[in-house]
Amino acid sequence: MNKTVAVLGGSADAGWVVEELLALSYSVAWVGQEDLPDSPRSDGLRAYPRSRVSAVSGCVGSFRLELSAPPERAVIDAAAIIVAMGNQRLPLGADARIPAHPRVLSTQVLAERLSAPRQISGIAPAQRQHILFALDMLELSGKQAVVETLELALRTHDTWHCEVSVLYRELQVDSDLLESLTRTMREQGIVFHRLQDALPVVDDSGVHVKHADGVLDGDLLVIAPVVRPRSDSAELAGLLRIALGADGYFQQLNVRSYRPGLSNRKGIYLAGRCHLDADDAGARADAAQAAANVAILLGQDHLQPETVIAEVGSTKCIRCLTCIRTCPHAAVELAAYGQVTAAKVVELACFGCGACAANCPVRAITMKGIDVPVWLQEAALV
Amino acid sequence: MPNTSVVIIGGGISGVAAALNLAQRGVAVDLVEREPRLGGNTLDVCCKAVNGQCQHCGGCLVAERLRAVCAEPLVTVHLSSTITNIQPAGDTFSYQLVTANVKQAKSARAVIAATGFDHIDARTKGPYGYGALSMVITGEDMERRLRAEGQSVYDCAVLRDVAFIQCVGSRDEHANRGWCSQVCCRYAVRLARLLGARSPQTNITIFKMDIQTAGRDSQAFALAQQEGIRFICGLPAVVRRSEKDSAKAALLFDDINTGQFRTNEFDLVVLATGIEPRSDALQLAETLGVERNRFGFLASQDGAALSIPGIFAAGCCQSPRSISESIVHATAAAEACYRYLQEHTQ
Amino acid sequence: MNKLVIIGCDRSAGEALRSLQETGYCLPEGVIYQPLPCGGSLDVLHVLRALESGAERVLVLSCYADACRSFNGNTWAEKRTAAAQALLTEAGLGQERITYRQVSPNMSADLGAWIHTLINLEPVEAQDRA
Repeated sequence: MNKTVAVLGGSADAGWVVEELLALSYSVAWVGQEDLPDSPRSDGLRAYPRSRVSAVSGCVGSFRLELSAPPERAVIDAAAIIVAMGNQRLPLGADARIPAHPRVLSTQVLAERLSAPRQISGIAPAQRQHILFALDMLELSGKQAVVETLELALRTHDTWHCEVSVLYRELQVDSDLLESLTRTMREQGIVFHRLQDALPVVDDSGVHVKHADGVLDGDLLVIAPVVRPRSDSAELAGLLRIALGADGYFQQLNVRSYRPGLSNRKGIYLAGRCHLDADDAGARADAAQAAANVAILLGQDHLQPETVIAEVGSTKCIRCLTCIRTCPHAAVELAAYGQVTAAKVVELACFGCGACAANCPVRAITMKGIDVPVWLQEAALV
Repeated sequence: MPNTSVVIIGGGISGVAAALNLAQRGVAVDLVEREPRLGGNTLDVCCKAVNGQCQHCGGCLVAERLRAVCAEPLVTVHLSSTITNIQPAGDTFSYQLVTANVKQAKSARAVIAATGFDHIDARTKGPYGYGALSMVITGEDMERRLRAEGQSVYDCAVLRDVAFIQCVGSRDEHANRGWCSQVCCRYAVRLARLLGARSPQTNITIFKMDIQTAGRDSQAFALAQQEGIRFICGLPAVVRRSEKDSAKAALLFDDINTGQFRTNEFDLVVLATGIEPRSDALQLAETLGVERNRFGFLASQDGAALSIPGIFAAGCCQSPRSISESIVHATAAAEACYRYLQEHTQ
Repeated sequence: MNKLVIIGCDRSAGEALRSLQETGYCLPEGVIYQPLPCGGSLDVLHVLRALESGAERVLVLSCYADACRSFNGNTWAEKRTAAAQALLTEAGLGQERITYRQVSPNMSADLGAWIHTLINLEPVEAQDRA
């Protein structure tokens, strides 16, 4: 059996997935639209930087991905696919409620200035400044944004020895890291204030933010990143025939599939921040989970279908494609039965849910592997 | 991987998930549970679906895994059993399995600690009157009743005003429990929504410090606000019996909007108690010499591996976690354990 | 003659029933459980067959939204139950013979209570067509 795993996405999340898979001795084909981050050199790894997936066929155990990577094209045969394309952040100007002003910065811009420390935009020497870091400004910040912003606030305080305050609505402390981080920050004199609904006011004298105990005046306002699903998620989901949730992240938010990173198709798994909100530690744990999903799938000598699966009676099929449309697991396709074309259930891909059977207008689909009592059998039908 | 076996200490959802993962990879597992049933704390978790919609608490993920682990030929389940004298013996660990006073000497190539958590005793928060006032209950009590007696159990009670108090026993440095228990915000908000949806005449107030909202599956907070659940920032100082109506509780709290102390009365007060590592983890850590963090959770550098090679932690003994997070963590622990076995079997 | 046929998703209703049985519960006489691999495989005919086989009532059980392993099975089950109810109303047999509930594996107490209520209801009288 082919034991190559295709990892899609050039994010840090994908890098962790690749690491995990290589440690488990799988061959990895790593495809990213951007330059891929450095990864451990390994005979098992083939990297396809600056490449897009243009077509996907096959099923679990034997997927085929076609890549367009101008000028050449490539084909990958993979037993399983892990999607780990990460998320994207909105530019600061994306929301008009945040005033466009040199005193208002994104965390990225501040991080760049921090590594070239002298003066900030000619306003005052850094040490005498009061820098405000705002979480939850337009929407409640997720874990990734909270960790990144708080770590930056602490680093700013340590580097410039300036006054630092953090504004928040609901401070996230629900991990070891965040707890110790906020503790350290408070010990170092960084003050936390709870935001009120009012938006920040920026003028030449500084930034002014209303909070629960009054108004805070500062020189700079650093806004926590706002993250969204990547804009190309839908395109890739379409090619892979997997679902997106109403919020645009991969997979409907379903309690049975969300955390284990399962997609609606057998052999396609999700990892990292293309499907959940997590800080780096959480995304790493999720990469391990994705690798475990693959290891459980490919750990067997042969892939086995589920005990209950659907079967099409090709002579009854009227090729209306209802089953293909309704199968939640993209497990039905058209196939040739000798001279006849009819719907066919891909056994390895079938979850055995029976949606096709119940939807078939001519009852051409039956479920194999279920004991049906006499009173329910089709033969009893009038 | 023949002739290898791993002992998993604790048959809650973490231990079960780790056992399933290892067995699926061909590793034999001894799963040791001190209670007569597998499942641990998850056996008291109720379904909190509201208006036909799942709230992602993960309570429904347990039953099928418990059944699967019992059917798994590579997993030997030892119920009503404990482990003593566990110690490293060369490349393996030797221990005694004690079942109904019968001791059996065994060995394992690796150990996974999955000793889980205890609910923090709400009586340790004296001013809230738990145990003394009948209208003061814990989230655990509420959840257990909903599970055991059905979702309609609070429907007939005349509950005009219900309060939830967050962070009881958690984020409390004075009690040396500085950690955030991570699960209480989520279960309390979900329970509040469930109660609100089933009894629309009930007014619900949640007293909180910071609602832990991160995560795609934590929309309950936003929905709760839309549904009219009132959130008050700041925890009550004290819960007393009301002087006007002895069936009611009076909550004294600092209203940060007015800066004044206020008293509100409630028919039912639900304390969202936190969780702490089980005492078994302490014993285990002491016998094996593995490190614990300053709050008593098993300390791990890299997710699951503990300070002694060959010993791993899964689930809430390492840090507070929800059910689905525990399953993921246990999978990662099993994965780390599997790799350790691969490296140490050649 | 069966008083009640329960047709349910085996991943939720089945788990709830098995958990209930582990505590010593036995399905009352005249109550049978027919598992489905998923609510999505419910056919209107399943419900009608159950009534035709002599059941007084049918209880259809599927998962809550966002808890179905096949994502939308619960919506199919709900729609098909409604269709079966409509057929019964049209036939003047009383749609209250068919009950639809969402259930989760940890709701065995609720399942026990529903069964108890349904088998103790008065038989449904045939009605004139509306």
